[in-house]
Amino acid sequence: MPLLGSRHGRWIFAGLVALALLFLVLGRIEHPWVHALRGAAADISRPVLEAAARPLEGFDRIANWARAVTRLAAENVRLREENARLQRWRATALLLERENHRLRTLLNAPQFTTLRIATPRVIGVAGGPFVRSILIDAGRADGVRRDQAVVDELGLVGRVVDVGAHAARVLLVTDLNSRVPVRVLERDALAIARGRNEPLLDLAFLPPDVTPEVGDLVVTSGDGGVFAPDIPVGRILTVGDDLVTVEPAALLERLDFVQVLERVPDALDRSNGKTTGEKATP
Amino acid sequence: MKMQTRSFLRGLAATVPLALAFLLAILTQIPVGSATAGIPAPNWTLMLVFYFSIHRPTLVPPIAVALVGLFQDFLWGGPPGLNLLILLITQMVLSNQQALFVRRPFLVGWLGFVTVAAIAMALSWLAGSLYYGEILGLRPLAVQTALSVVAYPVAGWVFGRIDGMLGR
Repeated sequence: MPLLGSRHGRWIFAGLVALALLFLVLGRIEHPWVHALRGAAADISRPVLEAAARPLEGFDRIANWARAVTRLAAENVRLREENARLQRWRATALLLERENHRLRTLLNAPQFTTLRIATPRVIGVAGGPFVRSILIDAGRADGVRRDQAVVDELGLVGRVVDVGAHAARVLLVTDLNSRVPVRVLERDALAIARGRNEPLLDLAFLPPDVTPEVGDLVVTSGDGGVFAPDIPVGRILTVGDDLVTVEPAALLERLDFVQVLERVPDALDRSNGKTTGEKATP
Repeated sequence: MKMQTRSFLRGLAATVPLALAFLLAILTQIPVGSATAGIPAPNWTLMLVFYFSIHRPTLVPPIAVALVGLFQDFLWGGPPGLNLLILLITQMVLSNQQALFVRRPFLVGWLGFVTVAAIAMALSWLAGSLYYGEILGLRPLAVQTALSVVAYPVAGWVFGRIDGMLGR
């Protein structure tokens, strides 16, 4: 029978359209139900996605092994050099951290520690045309909460927006709704990095007297309290009259494992004896 | 075979298209290629609803289609209710058009899908722009529609085999 062929059918259709409109309104006002249902949907899809990814992982492992074997000698030399360089940087970082701590204590400034909450695997990407997001296989049970920052080894990936029991959805920095308070490091200028649903971000609210240059590093400013300061966001790629674009530092097209971070005040961390995360090291 | 067993199996077979729709909605999220770089997956559920609304409308009742659309909305993280609306409108458009497509050459069905996909794209763009309060770029939607149109012959063939296996 045609869908609208009967009175009963027409009522059902009208009711379902009304339901769609109701959900659109709930989504627009960011109702907690919508976030809860998105978290539940992430939980439902997790086992299916993990099972489907298993055969692909096998191919991936073989391909990586073959690539690693062919590059073994060169890679060894590169890693030794990198290790020596990182050892030197580590010593410098420890010195600076100690000095920073001492100065903050003198100024009585609040101190924050960035905790690594989880290191989940990316199990899915949003397939729709409007949203740039990923699914990770960690949720409430792993200490993941809304608005925690997510990074890869190179920079900021995004923030957690919907949390299920064992899976969560992360809004990428490139999403249309993403706004990240940033600092152009070389110019010491604050701005907002906005997603455009394109591979590049743009910089908004840059002070008019500041002229950034191609290659300038953009890091989180820490304003707004969601992201810890100094997480690399990207580098300036183009500078136009009306548009400054930033190429994200994180490898958003090849995400595998990511880290979920939370910024907590030091005093709170100590008093709660929080053990869900470990201190994230630079 | 006993009558009861036969009717149970028939009932089970009737759930296959919708179970497949839920599975396809989940599988569009597999991180292959560079989906995070803005290449959306083809809209497999739209293809499924299109095919079965023409060939086996009783297996895709509106309430179940609405549930699939809503589930997809929550999975994708976009405007909740949008896919629900698109899939329902697809069903409404096709509700008295079966005669146009049934027992016709495959090309006719494909052209029908192109038309439905174009309508879905325009509606998604309009509803998405209203939802976000700004004019959205058409490119991601156009890419998804193009991928869906290209993938439909394969999907239609697979749905046809499943349809054949389910029996009448």
